[in-house]
Amino acid sequence: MTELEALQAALAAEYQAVYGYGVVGAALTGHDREFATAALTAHQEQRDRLVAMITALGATPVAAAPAYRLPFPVTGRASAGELGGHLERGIAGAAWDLVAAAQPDSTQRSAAIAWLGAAAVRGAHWGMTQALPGQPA
Amino acid sequence: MSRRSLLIAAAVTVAGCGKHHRPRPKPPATVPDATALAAARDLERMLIASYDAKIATAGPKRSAQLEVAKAIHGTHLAALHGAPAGSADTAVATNLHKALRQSVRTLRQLATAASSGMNAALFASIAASHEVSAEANGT
Repeated sequence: MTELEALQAALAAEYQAVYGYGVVGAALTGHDREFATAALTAHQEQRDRLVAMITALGATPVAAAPAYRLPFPVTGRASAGELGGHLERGIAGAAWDLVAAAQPDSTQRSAAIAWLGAAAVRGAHWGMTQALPGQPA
Repeated sequence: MSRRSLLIAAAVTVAGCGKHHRPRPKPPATVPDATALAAARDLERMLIASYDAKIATAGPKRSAQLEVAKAIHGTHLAALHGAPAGSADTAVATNLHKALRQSVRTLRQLATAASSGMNAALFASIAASHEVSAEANGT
């Protein structure tokens, strides 16, 4: 996978996370809703940063889909949390690929390392823990 | 290149093509990021030894939680191709939470600088896992 391909894949994952966290947040209340809102903001920032990185390479960022099919219905706190974990697992995987594809000491690699850590921490909040976050199956 | 040096180069080339020359021994295969991998393995061994020290004085419930956390570091060590800890001279952290936090910083530095992308991703992933451990237990 080239660096550009990894950046585009990470951007596609961020679009899904932004969409998905809208659904997650809507199904929650209290502290969990606040957490979901903060996660949504973080993913919006990461999305914008990825768009800037891709544009700086002279490429056109992939576009977001108008809507995304959820992997399962979200009907309450449990399934909302499960979706949050599912989204973060996807982000961690995309971050792993970007770390691997980016050059040493590059802005892209540094950003991906931070995103992988943040995805693992948010995933753990939703009960999704992995010994090696983002590692391909 | 001077005419003289051209001639010398040609002579060396001809000598190198001789039928009975001894094949040049292959240089030893170098493992990319060998020093960084060794540093990451040392970190995992130190954390495992630190968990062992805590488990030795913990009650049954806390001990079980610590065993689970310790097992994760065993997975990290295996991913780094390291043998299990057990040496009596392995350093032990007195403040596990602080040691985990410090390990996140170190592993992120290793990930940033690694020449191999796969090693970089592995260091970053282990750093992410340590970040979760540090957040979760506040040990």
